[in-house]
Amino acid sequence: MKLNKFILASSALLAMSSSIYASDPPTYKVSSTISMDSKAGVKSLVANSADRKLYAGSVDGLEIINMDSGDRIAKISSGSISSIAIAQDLNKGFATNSGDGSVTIFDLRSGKELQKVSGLGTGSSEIYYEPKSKKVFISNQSNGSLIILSASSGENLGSIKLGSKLRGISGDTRGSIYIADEKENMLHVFDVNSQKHKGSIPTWPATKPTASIMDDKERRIYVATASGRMIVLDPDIGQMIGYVPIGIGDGGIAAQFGANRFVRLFIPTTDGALTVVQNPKLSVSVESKNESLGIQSSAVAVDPKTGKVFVSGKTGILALSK
Amino acid sequence: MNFIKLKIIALSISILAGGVIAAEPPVAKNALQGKNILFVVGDSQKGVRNDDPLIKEYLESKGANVSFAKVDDSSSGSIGKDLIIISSTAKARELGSKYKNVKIPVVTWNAYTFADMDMTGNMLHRDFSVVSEKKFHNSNHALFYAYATSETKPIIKAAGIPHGIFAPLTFSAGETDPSWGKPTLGGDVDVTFEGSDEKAGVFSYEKGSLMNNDFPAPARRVGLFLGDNTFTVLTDATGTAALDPKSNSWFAGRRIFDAAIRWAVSPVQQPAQRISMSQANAELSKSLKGKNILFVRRMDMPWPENESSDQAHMQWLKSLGINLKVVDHMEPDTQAEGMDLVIVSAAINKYKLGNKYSDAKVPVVLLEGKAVDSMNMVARSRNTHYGVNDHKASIYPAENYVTLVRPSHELSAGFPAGQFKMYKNPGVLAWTVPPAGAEVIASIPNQPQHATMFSYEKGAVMANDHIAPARRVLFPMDTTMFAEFTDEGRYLYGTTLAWAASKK
Repeated sequence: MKLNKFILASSALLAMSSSIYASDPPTYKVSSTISMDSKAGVKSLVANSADRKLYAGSVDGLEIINMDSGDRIAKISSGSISSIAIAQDLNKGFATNSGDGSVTIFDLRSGKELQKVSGLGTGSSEIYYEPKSKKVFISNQSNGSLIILSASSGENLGSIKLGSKLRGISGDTRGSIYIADEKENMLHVFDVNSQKHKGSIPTWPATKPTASIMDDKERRIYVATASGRMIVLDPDIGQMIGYVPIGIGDGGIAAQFGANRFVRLFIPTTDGALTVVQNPKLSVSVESKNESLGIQSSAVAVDPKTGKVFVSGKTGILALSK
Repeated sequence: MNFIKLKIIALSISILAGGVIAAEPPVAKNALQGKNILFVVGDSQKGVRNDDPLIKEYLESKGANVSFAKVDDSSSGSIGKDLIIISSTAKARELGSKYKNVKIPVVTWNAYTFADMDMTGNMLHRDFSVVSEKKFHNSNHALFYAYATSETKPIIKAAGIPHGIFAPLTFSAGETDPSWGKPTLGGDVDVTFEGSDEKAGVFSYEKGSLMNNDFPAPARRVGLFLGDNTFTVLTDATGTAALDPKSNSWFAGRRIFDAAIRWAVSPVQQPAQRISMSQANAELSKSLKGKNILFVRRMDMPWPENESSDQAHMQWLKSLGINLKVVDHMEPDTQAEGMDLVIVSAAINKYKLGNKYSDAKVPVVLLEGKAVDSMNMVARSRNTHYGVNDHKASIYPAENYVTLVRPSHELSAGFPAGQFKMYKNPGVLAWTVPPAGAEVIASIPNQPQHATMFSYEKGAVMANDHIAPARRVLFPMDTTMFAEFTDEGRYLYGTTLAWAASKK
C-alpha cells in the first residue's frame, strides 16, 4: 500500500519537465507499485485530479487511493466493480457491480456509500457521467441496452436497446455520447437530452471496439479495440481519419492533453502490452510499445497534473512515468 | 437477380425504340463482389503514410480479390484480372505506359500515368498536376472542396450525390497531396477542383472513347485525385451526419472513390449496332414515325439557298412519318407544349428567337450554333466559349468532317471513333466549349478543344448552373447544309432526333 515517494516525486518532475515534442521516443517505466487489498487485479481505474484520488475497482470492491502518496483512503466492499464514474459537481461517484447488476453511489469526500441502485441487470460494462444532463449511462454487454440513471437521485430513468455488446462510453459537450459496440463494430451515437439513438459510426478498419475517449476541442474520438488497432474518428462527419497498431485483446484508453494540440494516448491491452500513441498536429503515430510490464487488464488512468499513468499489474497498480 | 431484370428492361426499351437506343447499364452497389484486381503499388514519399494496404483491405471488404504488383512486374500479371489500379506510390518513370494498351479497365491516381496512358496531355501543371501542400499551399487547401459536375454523370449517379460543391477530404487530419487531370472531350469530367472543368479530380473514359492523341480507350479508364495517404482522409458521413441530407452529401469523398471503382468494373455501354445506309430511313422511321415535332424557323427567308435547304429538311422529316408543326421564330414558345421534340433550325435569327425554348420542358435539338448561350447550353463569351468555323472573321476554316469522340454513346449511331464525313463539302460548322455536364459526341479535326456536337441528359447541369428541363442537343447543321449531308451524316442527324424524342 505504500508508494515510494522519492521515486514518485522524481518521476513527476521528470514528466513535467520533459518536452512533449522530445525527439527520442519516451519509454514509460514503472516508477512505483501501489499494492491493493484485492489480489485479484484491477478491472477499472479512474484518476480524479481535482481531489487527487485514484479510484480502483476489482472483484473485491472499490478502493480509493491518494494519488500522490499511494496511501489507501477508503474501501467500499460492494461486490465486483467493473467501472467507475466521477461526478465532481455533485460530489458523487458511481461504480457498477457487474455481478449483481447494481450501481453503488458514493460520496467523493468521505468515500462512504450513499446509495445502492439495484435491479439494473447483470452484464453491465461501462458507466459514464454526463454533467450537463446530470445523467449516468451504463452500457450492457450482455443484452446491448443502455441504462439511464439520474445522477442526482439515483432514479432509474429507463433503458434503451442500442445494439449487441455495448462497451466503453465517451461523450462531448454537445449532448452526445458514443457507446462502443464490440459485436457490431461501431459506436452508437446517443442524444443525452432527447434520449434517442442518433445513428452509428463504423469503426472500420478496426473491429471489436472496447473503449473510447473524446477530445472535444479537436473533435476526435480515440477508440481502442480488441482487434490490434486504435482508430481516430471524427464524430461530426462520423468517419475514420487515422489508425495505428496496438496490442491484441481488450483495450482500454486514457489520454493526456498537452499544449499545441498535442495528445498522448495510453492503451493497455489484455495481451499485456501498453501502446503509447501520440497525435501531434493531429497526425497519429505510435510513440512506444512496451510488452514487458505484465499488464493484467485494460484498466488505465492518467493523472493530468503529473502525467503519471496507472495500469493494472501483477502485484497491484503500476504507476508509470517517462 | 435485380440487375438481370434491369438489363432485360433496358434491352426491351432498346428494341421498342427501334434498335437505335441503348440505355447505359447501371452501376451495381455490389459491383466489386468477386472481382479480381491487380493493384500496382510502390513506396510512399518519405514520412508519408502509405494507404495502399488499407485500400486493399477496403476493396476486399467489398468482396474483391486484390493482389499487389510492383512497377517492374510484367503486365502479363493483369491477365485474368477485372481491373488494374495504379497507386500514386508506384514510380511512374519506371512504370511508363505499361498498362496503356491493356484491354481491361484501369483506375489510376498516379497523375504522371494520366499522361503516360494518354488520359491527358503530358505537360505538368497544364494537363495534369500534383498539388503538393509544401509547394502549392493555398491551392492544396482549395482542394479540400470539390464540385460534382452533374447527377447525370455515371460516377456521380453511382455515388448518389447531387451536383455542386462538396468536401472530399477531411480538414485538419494531416497533409495530403491530391492531383488533377484535364481529360479530352471524349472523357467525362465527374468532379472538378476550384470550379474549373480543366482541373478534374475524377474523370473517366468509356471504352472506345478518344483520349489524348486520338487514342481510343482500350477499356474503361478512370483518373482519381488521390495521393499516397489520401484514402484515409476521404470524407464519409456516418452517424448523425448521415441523417442530415446536406451533411451526408457534403462529406462524400469515399463514396466518390467507391463509385468510380465500381463504375470501372461495371458492364460497358455498348455502341449501337451499325446499319446499312440503305436501311437508314426505314430504321429512323421506326423511331420517329408519329412523333409530334415542332420545327422553329424564320419563315419566308429572303435567301433562296437557305429557304430551299429548310424546305428540303422539312420534307425529309415528313417523309419519316413525323407530324411536323412549323412555326416562325417570333411565335411564343408555348407552341412546344405537348410536342415530343423541338428542332430549332439554324435559319432562325438568334436576336429574334431570344431565349425562347431555353426552359422548354420538352427536348430541344438546336441547329444554330450561335444560340448556344441563350439556350444555356454553353457559357456566354463568344469566340471563347462558342464560335463558328468559316464565319466572317473566324480563324477556323470551313469544314465538312467531324471527329467522333464517344462511339459508345447512342448519338454516335454505331459509327466508329475518329474522323467522320458529315457533309459532302466544307462549310460552316459550330464550335463550342461546353461545360462538364455535357457529353461531347464530336469535336472538329485539329480542334480537339472544340465540341461541335454534344448533348445533355434531362437533369444535367448546363451552363451557368442551369438544369436541363429535358434532353438538349447541339447538332452542327448550318442553314444551307441539309442538302450537303452525306448519307451517314443524315443518319447521324436522324438518330439524334430519335434519341432526343425518345425521352422527355
